Amino acid sequence: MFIDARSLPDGEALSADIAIVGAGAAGLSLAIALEGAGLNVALIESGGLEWSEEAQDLAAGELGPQVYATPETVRLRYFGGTTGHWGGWCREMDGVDFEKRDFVNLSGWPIAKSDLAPFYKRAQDILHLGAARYDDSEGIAALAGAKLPIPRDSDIEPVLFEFSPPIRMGEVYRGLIDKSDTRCFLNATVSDIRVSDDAKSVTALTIARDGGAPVTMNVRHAVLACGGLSNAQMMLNADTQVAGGLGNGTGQVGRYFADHPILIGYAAVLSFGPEAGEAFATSDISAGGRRYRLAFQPREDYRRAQKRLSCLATIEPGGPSFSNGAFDRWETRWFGQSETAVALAALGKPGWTPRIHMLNAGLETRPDPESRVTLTGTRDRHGVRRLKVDWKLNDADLEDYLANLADLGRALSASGAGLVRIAPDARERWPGETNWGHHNMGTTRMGADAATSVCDGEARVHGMANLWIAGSSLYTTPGAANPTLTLVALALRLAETLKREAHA
Amino acid sequence: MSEGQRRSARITRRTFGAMGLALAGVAAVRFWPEDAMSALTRRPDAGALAALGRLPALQALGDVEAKLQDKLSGGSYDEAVARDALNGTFVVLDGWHVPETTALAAAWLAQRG
Repeated sequence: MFIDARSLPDGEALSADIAIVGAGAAGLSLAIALEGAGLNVALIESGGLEWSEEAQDLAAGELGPQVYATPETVRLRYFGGTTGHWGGWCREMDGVDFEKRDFVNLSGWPIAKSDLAPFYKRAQDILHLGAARYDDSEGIAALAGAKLPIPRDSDIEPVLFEFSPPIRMGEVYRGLIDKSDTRCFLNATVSDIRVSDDAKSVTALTIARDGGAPVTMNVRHAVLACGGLSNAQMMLNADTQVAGGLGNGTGQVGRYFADHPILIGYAAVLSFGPEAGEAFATSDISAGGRRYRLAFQPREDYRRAQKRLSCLATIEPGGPSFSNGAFDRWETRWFGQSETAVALAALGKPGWTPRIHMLNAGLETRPDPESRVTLTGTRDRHGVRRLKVDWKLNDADLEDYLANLADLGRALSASGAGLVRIAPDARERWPGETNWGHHNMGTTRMGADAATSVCDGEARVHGMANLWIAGSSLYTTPGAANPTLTLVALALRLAETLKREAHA
Repeated sequence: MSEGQRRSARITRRTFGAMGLALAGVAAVRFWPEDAMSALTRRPDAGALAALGRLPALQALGDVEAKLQDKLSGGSYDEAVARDALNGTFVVLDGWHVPETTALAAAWLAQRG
């Protein structure tokens, strides 16, 4: 059921076995999974059922020197959260993403991909996805009548994203929550987290609202599911009883902030022959009622052997084609000098009209403690200190991408599919000309060691008995895959943990 | 006529005389395996390769004929290109990663005019 917090009488006494703060992808998935567990669940959403300027203003913040989306544009503060404008790109993380890798400082999740496997399956349903055929690129391409441009046993392998419709969780699950026993408080902003005298457990949440005094909700368990920026913001802001904020004894909250740098126009592919051209031109694949996107990434064992991070390079459909001795549309910046490309294009198979495709990519990055979310001295109208995002990018991450691109060029050339161009000024463009995936990750990372992490492998905040985190802020390392599917799987796994804990 | 064909003609002339030479000549032209350098000049994309070879970036490749002969000594142009691709032996032209054999062939064809 929905309750507008503004309608609550002052002094209303609220309580919950489990209070979930934030009704986005993580919070809603968790609430759905807890349905029918015989627990008193409260879902607390800062916004309303629809987007509003008033609620969105609460997400505002500042940026460091690196160009990045302002905090109020990167996420949405209303029921359904950022699924209200996401693109629906889904892909499981790879097994190697969870491993301790000696060439990635502070890598190694406290869980393995196998721990998430059953929850990935259920996450597919939550996000209205199909049968998780992320590594069956050959099968999916065959369904679509295309042949892949490089074989699966190359060092660089073709893989898939699957697109969620994209599901707007606030619309799709509104009815379910309305009819459920979960009480969803709208226009309810958690402005403080109260803890026991020994500061080892959460006792209550302070809920601010417009038009009335704050109300208090006593809780047995609290889950922060406010997104990769605000989970850290909430913990840092809750410093009235604990200096520095909750779970921040080692100063780790807010550090390791990561997003996927999206590099557009750093590389291009010239397709040779009709088979490769068809595969590139139809890299946006529809098959069996599902939509997929072909991508290339270095194989897992190749990454380990080369001590290299991953990337997911996608070939954009379309691009200029070769006709009458020239390209019909020309972007010198992306595709280079025309005479070079025109001459190269004529090397393709006779009778085939060559085409140049832009190659974009999302990059995995190394964890960096100096890339972080902090609080500013400015407060919002509910007294919560606003945040500052200081995203740091490292040259080593670009170098890994350039090496992966060169290997992709080798694989495509060896299979006769085409040639790759890496922009000669790629290093000058980085990091100033970098886009991002709007994927806020890492600020309350999981880890076995409290000195370098915030949560344990169960998503419980180190040193706190009943404070839990849901969302991509848990990611120890970001991988290259878009984060939503994995964060939903993590939330579903947390639901099982909470059922055990709450009934214990 | 390739060097192999010329050598064959000398042997045939000494052995069988003019008639034999004529008959063997017809057979040689039709059936003697063409050397890879000559085959290169008759590829459908030879014109494009020559155009590529006129790019200033390919002027610094040195003695392209000797290097190309070395590349092609093990087989055909296409085989050499595939070997370069597998080994990652590329020349970078304006960012494009071009197999070294392709670059050498382009420069050589451009020099021939």
